[in-house]
Amino acid sequence: MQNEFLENIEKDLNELKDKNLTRRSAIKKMAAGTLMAATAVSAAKNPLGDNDKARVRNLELQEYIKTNYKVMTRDEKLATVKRLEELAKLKHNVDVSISSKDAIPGVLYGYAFNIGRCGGYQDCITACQKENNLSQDSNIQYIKIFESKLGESLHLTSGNAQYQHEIPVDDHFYMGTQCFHCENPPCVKVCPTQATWKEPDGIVVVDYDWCIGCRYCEAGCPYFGRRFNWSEPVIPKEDLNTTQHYLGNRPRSKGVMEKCTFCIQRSREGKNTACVEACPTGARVFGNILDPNSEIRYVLENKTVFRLKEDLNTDPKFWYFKD
Amino acid sequence: MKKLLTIATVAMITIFTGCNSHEEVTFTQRIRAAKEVPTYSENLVEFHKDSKKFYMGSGLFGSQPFHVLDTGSVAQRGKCANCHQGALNTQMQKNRPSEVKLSHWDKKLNHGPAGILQCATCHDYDATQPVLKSAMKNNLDFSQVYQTCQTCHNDKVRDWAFGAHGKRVGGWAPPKVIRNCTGCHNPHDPSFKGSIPKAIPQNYNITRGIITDAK
Repeated sequence: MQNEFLENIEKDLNELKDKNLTRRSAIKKMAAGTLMAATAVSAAKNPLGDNDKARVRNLELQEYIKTNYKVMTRDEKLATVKRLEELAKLKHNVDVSISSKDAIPGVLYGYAFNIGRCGGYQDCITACQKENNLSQDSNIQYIKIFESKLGESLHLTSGNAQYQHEIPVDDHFYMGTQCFHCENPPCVKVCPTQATWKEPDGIVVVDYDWCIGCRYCEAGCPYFGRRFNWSEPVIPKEDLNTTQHYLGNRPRSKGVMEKCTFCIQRSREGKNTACVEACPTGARVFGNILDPNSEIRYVLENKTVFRLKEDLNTDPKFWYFKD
Repeated sequence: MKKLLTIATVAMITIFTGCNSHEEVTFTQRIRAAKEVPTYSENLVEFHKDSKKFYMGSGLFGSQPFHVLDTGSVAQRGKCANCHQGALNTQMQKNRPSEVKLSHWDKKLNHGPAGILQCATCHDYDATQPVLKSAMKNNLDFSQVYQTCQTCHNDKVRDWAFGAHGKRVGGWAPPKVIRNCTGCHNPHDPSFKGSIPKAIPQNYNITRGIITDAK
């Protein structure tokens, strides 16, 4: 019985050998076929010349194996932004300048919002979208403006951020929220890959190439400051802001977290953030808390200020005041 | 066995209590420690080249010097003497302003309660040049309009000098540039008017073109 069984198997094997169809050759053929199909597909998607394609592959490989920006040396940071600039030119034919400027020493950014002056105009939201290359397809907005009735609670969930009527409405007040850049940020604590951290000048940043998109930070943030890219961001070329920072407004990919960065590409050059510049009523104040002559210090020292959810001990650097 | 257990417990306690003692400096401590004004190494701000900054308001309420964007110099406006010969009929207008038909009738005054402010409150009629005046002094250039506003809105001008009120242009780093009062407020109708919100609301689904329930 067993002998017969073995004979049958040997017969089958010999037949297969004749057909030259062993397991090894079958796998080899499948692998070759897949590779050919993949090359064909990628060539169709990316019609570059051979040299450019090789260069793009080389750059993308180097970008893939680079380390976390948080631990990079100065040279590595410069190298990675150069690679990204070159990739943008090769893949999308845009000239961008990506900065890797570090924090200015002696600077700690703070922000104040005058809820008596905000009229809910939302100039800040659109200016932020333009400045930070936010996806127009998914309409990501870092800033939310809540309209609440006067006398009701300051709790954000009682406000309406989706209003679409003429503003300001009588008897209502408007309060804007964004990432508050806490000094004790819960989002940083829960990140499993340390893709987000607090820079020495107080800005909480994200390395988009290190983020795995688990959204723990979104769960950890008590102020809903974080946004997730559910889809591939879409920015028309003419709307692209080409002055970028690695930790700021360089284009993100699908599946990474992003948030307000206090316009790091602007604030590290001494400029005000886009929302502060856009506000038509001058309700937003930005500056260096460590500078005793700054506007933000004047507000903190002379106005009645409050912060949201103080009991959570997140120590946000975003104060509200009324003058 | 007991000795091993004691050593292990002691080790765990030392490790775990020592674990969370990161030397975190709060930012109030950093503020107190930062005694000097930081000096910014480069000329960080480059604001609009065509802005006419005219005034270094040094010492206004003890604030730092700042620049004010010019809202239009006298030379841009017509001189009163272009139309009016000699001095204007100021006495009549001061005493019985409602009975005198005012020139520049296209200017409607909607500033504060009706009847309180007159044209003569802010505009200096005793001059042949177009100038303003405040409660304290006459002959103020239009670029010094904040002194006129200061007559009644002293607290706002103080906030403005320190940067908590008004529109800062330029940057957070020095030099500080701010708009003049009339750069944002129409002096004859200073309150801001309503408008419609600029951004597409989040619960509007762009792909589907409908309002969803998403918050």
